[in-house]
Amino acid sequence: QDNSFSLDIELIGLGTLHGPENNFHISIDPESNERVDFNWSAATSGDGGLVLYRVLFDREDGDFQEPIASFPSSSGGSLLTLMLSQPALNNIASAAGIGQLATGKVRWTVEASSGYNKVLFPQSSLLSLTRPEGIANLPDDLYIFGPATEGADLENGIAFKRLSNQLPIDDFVTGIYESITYLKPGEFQIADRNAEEEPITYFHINEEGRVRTGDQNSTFNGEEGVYRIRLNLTQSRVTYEKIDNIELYILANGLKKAELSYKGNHTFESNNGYFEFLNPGHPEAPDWLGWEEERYRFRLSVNGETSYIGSNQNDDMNGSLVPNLSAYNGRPNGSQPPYYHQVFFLGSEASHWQGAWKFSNQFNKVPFTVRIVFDPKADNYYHEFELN
Amino acid sequence: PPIDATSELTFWQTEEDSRVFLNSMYADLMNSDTYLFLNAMSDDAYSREKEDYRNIGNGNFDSSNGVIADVWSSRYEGIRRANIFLNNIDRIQTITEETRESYRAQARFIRAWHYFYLREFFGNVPLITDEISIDQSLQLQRTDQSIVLSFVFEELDQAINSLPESYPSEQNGRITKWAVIAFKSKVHLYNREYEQAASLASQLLDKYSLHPNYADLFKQPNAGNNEVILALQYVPTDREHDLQYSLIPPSLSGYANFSPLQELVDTYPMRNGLSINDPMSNYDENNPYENRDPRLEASVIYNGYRMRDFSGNIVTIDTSPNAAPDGLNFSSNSTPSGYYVSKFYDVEARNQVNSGLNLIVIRYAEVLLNYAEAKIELGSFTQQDWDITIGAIRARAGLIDNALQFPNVGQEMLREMVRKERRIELAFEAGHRFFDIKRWRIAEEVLDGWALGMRTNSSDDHNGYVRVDLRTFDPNKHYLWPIPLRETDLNKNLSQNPNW
Amino acid sequence: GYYQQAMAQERVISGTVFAENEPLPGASIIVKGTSQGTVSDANGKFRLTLDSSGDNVILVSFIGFITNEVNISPNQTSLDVILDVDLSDLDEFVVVGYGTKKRDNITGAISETGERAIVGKPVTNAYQALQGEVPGLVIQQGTSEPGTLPEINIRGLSTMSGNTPLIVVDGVISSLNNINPNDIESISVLKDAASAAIYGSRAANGVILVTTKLGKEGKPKFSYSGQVGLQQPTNFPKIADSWEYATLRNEALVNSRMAPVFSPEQILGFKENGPNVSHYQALFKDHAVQSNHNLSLSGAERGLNYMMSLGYMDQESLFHGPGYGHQRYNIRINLDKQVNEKLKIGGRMSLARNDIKGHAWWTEWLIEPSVRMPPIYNIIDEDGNYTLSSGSNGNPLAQLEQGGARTNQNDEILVNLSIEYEPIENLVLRGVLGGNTTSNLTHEFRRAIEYAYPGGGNNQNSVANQYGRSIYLNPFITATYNKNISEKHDFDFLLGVSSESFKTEFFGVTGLDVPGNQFGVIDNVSEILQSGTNGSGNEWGIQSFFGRMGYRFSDKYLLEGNLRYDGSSRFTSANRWGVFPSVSAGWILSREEFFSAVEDVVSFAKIRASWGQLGNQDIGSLYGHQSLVNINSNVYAFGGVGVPGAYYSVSNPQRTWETSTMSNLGIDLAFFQRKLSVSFDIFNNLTRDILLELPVPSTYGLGQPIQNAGVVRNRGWEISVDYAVNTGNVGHSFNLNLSDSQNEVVDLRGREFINGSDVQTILREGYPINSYFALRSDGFFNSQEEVSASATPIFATSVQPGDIKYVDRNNDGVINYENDRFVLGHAFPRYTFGATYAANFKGFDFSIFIQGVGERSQWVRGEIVEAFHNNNEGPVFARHLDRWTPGNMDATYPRLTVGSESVNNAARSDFYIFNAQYLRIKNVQLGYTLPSTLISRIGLGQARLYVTGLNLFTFTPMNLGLDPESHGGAATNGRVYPVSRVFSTGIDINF
Ligand SMILES: [Ca+2]
Ligand SMILES: [Ca+2]
Repeated sequence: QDNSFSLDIELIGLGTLHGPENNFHISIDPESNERVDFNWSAATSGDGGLVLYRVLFDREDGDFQEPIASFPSSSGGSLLTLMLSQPALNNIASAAGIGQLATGKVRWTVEASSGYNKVLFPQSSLLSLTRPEGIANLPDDLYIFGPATEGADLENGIAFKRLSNQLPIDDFVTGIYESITYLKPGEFQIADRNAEEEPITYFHINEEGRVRTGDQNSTFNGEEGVYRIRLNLTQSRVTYEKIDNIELYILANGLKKAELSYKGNHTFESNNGYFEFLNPGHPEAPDWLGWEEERYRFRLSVNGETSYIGSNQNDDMNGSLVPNLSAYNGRPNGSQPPYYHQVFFLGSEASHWQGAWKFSNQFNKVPFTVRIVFDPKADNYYHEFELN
Repeated sequence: PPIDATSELTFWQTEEDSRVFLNSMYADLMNSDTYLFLNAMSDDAYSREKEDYRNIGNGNFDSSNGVIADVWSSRYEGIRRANIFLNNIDRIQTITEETRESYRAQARFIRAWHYFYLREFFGNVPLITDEISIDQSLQLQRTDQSIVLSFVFEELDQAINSLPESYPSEQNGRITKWAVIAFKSKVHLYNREYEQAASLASQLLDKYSLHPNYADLFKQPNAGNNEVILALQYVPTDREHDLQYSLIPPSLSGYANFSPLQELVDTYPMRNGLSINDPMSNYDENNPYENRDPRLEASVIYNGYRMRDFSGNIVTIDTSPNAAPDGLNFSSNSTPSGYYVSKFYDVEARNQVNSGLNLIVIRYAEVLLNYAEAKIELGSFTQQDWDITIGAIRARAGLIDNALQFPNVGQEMLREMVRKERRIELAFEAGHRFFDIKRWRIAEEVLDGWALGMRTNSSDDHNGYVRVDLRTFDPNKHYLWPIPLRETDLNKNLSQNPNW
Repeated sequence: GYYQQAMAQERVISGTVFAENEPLPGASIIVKGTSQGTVSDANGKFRLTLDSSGDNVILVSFIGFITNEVNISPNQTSLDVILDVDLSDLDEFVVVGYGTKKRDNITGAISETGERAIVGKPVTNAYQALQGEVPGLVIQQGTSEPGTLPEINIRGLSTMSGNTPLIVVDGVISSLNNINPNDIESISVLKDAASAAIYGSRAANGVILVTTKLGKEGKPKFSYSGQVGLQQPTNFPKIADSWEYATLRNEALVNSRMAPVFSPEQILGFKENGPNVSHYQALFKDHAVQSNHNLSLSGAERGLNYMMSLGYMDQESLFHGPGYGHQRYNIRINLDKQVNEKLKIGGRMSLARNDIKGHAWWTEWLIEPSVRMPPIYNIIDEDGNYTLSSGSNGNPLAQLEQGGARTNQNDEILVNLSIEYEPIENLVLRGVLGGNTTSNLTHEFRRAIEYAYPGGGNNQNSVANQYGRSIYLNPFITATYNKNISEKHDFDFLLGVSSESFKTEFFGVTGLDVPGNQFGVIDNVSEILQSGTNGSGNEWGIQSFFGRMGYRFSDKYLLEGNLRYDGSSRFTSANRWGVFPSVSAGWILSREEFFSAVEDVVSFAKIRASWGQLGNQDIGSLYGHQSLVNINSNVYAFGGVGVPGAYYSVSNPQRTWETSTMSNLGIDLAFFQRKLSVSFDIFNNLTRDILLELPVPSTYGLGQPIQNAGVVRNRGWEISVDYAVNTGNVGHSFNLNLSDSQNEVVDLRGREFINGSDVQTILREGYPINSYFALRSDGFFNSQEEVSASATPIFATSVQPGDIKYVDRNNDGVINYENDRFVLGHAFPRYTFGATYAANFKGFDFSIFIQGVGERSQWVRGEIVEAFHNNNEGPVFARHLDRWTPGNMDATYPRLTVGSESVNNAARSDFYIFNAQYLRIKNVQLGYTLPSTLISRIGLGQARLYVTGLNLFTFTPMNLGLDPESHGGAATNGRVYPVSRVFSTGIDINF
């Protein structure tokens, strides 16, 4: 067999764009499943080998040197067509600088490749787009800053955590960001970066309470306090849920053993907790108790409704709340899994023993400090104890 | 004379001789590869590396396929062993008649078992009930399958009459009377003889019970639980199988030889019993594994799955495209479908893959499903039937709400229900799905076109579900396997199946 | 006066006889025309008293040298004589079965060689040295992995069960595996029935008689020879660069209707930054050392002839890893003592020790994943950790470097005691007790390997020990008697009885989990593995009676007959005994009166013919004539405990001798004072009741027993040519041999048998044994129309342009194996040849040895030939770049595909049957012998320095990166340690 053969990746024939026709107009409808079909004719490589295609988009006056978006054609780049969804078009329009509800033009062409050799089709075409409401590109991070917040300026912006569904009760759509932080009436700004690094995308909340891009100021009019702020960029909504009164309490008797107050920087703390493990006959012990009992969790008020914070692992002390996660049922003694002290919002309907932790022996009958840190940059929110 | 073996002429002397010979016949029941990989030729799974299984699954095969030749030859080797045994056991003087009858019955069961499988795969097959010569083997013709089938039934009836209902614990694993009855019920079911299937299955009701936890049923510590009617016996170190190598993710030293398909994953309903296609089901395509029938988690490893590794640590399996090392198509070791298998996972496995986990071939839940299916086909499936069969199986699995309620629907719907239930409950076990899609004659529907894996959106084909294998099923010939080329090459008297 | 007269009449001549630059003891010095003479002493010196003062002619002669006539001038008193080797006479005596014979008197087909095939070749065993040296002797070695042995065969596949010739060393049945090549004096290859029938049932595959060296008359002589050289691996497949790989991976995926996986940017990254790794090649070093050293002491004085030698061979492995290689130690003592005129006793003893250290795994399974691995993965990451890349949960390089080792320590002791007694003249009684004992100890420690990556396998260590020993005894007694009657009639007789018995025992134990992963001995394991614990043994025996009668008339007409009667334990008593006769005749034309006319040109001419029958009983399954019940442990389990099981063995009580009827016709010619000699043989071997492991239908249920199948014929011819000539000071010699054998299944009682799965072979009347049987390819489909109009395989659901097209043999519009396979060549070599040219000039010598095969097919399958074999990520080789595309229809490889889309192209067809003919420059030597005047000053007798090379160049159309000589399983899948090229320097010293 011929060993001297080598690949010829030169593109010896380029195709032409077929559709959509030049200056075609589309009003983007994120609710619609209708896809837009981009198609063209084939290119040929020197040895007849595979040619792959990418559709590139640029601003109306762009030259595709730095395209604003690109997509491999159907079947991973191998077909002569690309079916783009409405949200994808929305992203392109947004990247082209077309604002929400505005209309503008983008330019597209096809890049053919053989091996590492990439060549643009000589021709390009314009597409006219009208954008809907809603944020197109979900940022990785989000920060708020300004007089209404704990952070005075962009650099000290208060971080948000992007929510995912972790417990069976969780039911978040994509694009929700949360921060537990202090607010007071006043103005603030929202950005996807907390450093002066281009490009920063700014968001704001308009008079109708909808989230929009743009670096205008937003206003907080509510009561001063600690809030669980949730920014829903997918649906352009914001909620402020007031949090107060976080208590560590014992599940067996419902008695509070520490009251945690907000210390800033996403942290609640109590430095005068005290608990004596319940044994049968202890004045606080329920009469059914037949063993030493020390299970606790937290309760708090969210917008005036009692709600619970607990672990993700103990569902009635048997299985975990999370599929396949094993429950750690002993008192923490150093061999507990690293996620043992993570905290989760269990909602207001949590069953009596769900999400319980056990006290470590060393906190029996000694004053302690307990702290919950809703750190948006940590893997998860967590709590911790210290001996006083 | 050899120093390490005795002559056939002097072998059959003691009870031990017959027992030891019978032991080797048990090993013929089914090998671990067949147990698992038959399912890779169904719409439940795909084998990237086991070429012969893969090629049957996608229709690219003929009579020279190695799996087909192996199934044929290993079954006939087992049949010869049974014939030898039945020809010689009477030579033994020092054995009680009770033991002799029991041994003979076990051998008859195993021989009937072989013929059942041969008939399922090939239709008409040579019926050999004696030790034949090479010359005879070169002249054999195929026996009509109705004769093979009546032979199977006769043999099973004799076995039922001679076998005990149970054995002392050191004999656990032997064929019991109940195992034969359960098997005979299944043969009738496969043969659409629903009256007999139902009546035989009903004999086992309340003789066994469902193990309380579905996932635990397939774990090493529960080997002898009261749901198991017949299992292939394995023991750590002494007799192990390495199925796990084909099942678990590379990060746990697996190889993804056997990959569940999206079609199976989609069959698991929501926890409330509603199909994921039901608008009321609350199924979230972006969080597709949440709130599903817990048997999904007990059977399939999916993206984001959390499990214990061999050191006892909890690890999260990332099967997202090209994630190292377990991601979809990251390497030749990793899953081509986005899924691995959690059923049969043995954290105690020696060298991480050599497992002593028994492989269940008949269990009570199957008997219940056989019963339910037979009753549904007979049109006499009642609330009470539901409660003891599908209802009980679902409750054990952890389904809730309406999933447990007797559905007030017609035979069509019930049939679809029991078929789905069977697929889910028995997933990856003993080739059930492979045989079921053939006997239900649905193979041309479910084995045609692209077999898909998890949703990746890397391509816009199939709504973003990744292509795994293009399958073709030709109902004109694929329902029966061809007689192996090796056999027709040697014996021109063997006719070939239609269109092969 | 008287004194003067006396001086004139009686004078003394003294001097030295030299041959080959050495003093020659024992040469006879005779005054021509008288009976006056003497013999040179141990230093080659002589003193001869002449009774005449005039001109004298002296004849100086020695067997094997051309007699020198020297004229003595009247006053001469000293004389040095140099004798030249008589090339025509050197081979005068040939070792034959149970004796020796004058070459001229041989009537069978015997080829011989000796030291000349061995000297200076950097080989690691004797077989390698013989390759290509003897017509009809086929030796194949497709790997140079330390410790492996080649396959050896004479005159083709006349039988199927064990085609290895019988090897007889110094009269006793033995092997060449452990012999020190430097100890070999001569080798006779008995190829036809007449010459081999004396070995009866043991000789159906031919016989190789090896004679080891003895001392030469004279004082003790020391010899040292040593070589040190480097091995290099040859023949790796040329992989595609990583960017080419990625480009073609995309193409194959898209051709298979899957999404591509590499972006142009990634492909560019591969081109600019790699990695670009040949995982296969990376398992091997660039070079490894090989050396050997031999020291011997020999001589013969006062009836005691002795030779003692020490040998050491050290071949490092080319595999990376800690000290892998093979060392062999040889000791030999050969003694013969003429006790008195009637009694001679002799002894031979040799010890061989092999220490072979290799990796603890299986080479095949290290190479397989390495060949499949795409070049885009590193073997070791930036942090120095072994990676786990595609298709494996281990890293073969880690397995080599850190995975422990397997050591084999094999000892063999051969002993041979003989006593020869001549009670009356010409009657010699000879008794020999020969035999050998071997012991083999294997220790394997597979270390657990800690991979830095999750999911690594190899994480349980294990220790295995195996020990086996065997004893083989071969006593025999012969009586020979020669009688000459009235000068013209020569008779010789041989009667003998021989017995062979062999017994072996072995056991092994395997344990798991050595804590600490350091000290891998059974004592330290945590658990014994039942399935790795075994022990057994077996034995066999043969009894034989044999006789030979020879008759010569006037040294012109030669006649010989042999008869042997053998009984073998491998058959039932009813089938146990076989009779094997042979007759042969020769006519030396050149001794007829009428021949004198052409005597000047044709120095010698002989015609030979032979016919005979040989048996074969060499069946691997020793007890296959009886049905046995074997007990295996842990075949199943009850109650959580493993239980044993009983299995019937495969058996055939009817099996019996296979019988080969062999005819041979030969002619030996010599020209120009025997400077040029030519031998030609033609043979026809018909084997009846050939023993084959015939496939049986699976419905039989008991596997394939060995059966007496049918009739197979082997026909062929051999030619060898030797020529020596001097041009000026330069001596040249040419040697050429060429042979062919072709077998054919003559009768299978109308049946045919197809064997194999991945590679299928057929036994069909009219075709060679185990011919390939496969579809025939017919180029590639170039268009959809062509696909639609053609038959396509029933087993391929998608056939596209660019796929291989197959011939629809029965024209039924579909391709299936049942009806469309063809018989397509076979793997046995034909037209094997070897050619040597040697020249010497003053002290310099040069030789080149070329060897090869003129026709051979090799079916190769798997990853070594197929791109993306079996749905793997790799491999892609450079030759796959010439794949079919719409723009490259004259491709050499079909369109690239993966998975089920590859089924059409992966079909069993001649597309994967390759032409494996080759020509190899096997050995080149350049030597210089230091002038004796120079070296005698430092006490040396002779010294030669040389450089030598082995496997220097190979020319073959089989361009797969697989050695064309690869055969058997390794050849069909290419998972093999390569053949190495060796460059050495050597020295031979005598003193
Ligand atoms: Ca045909
Ligand atoms: Ca070409």
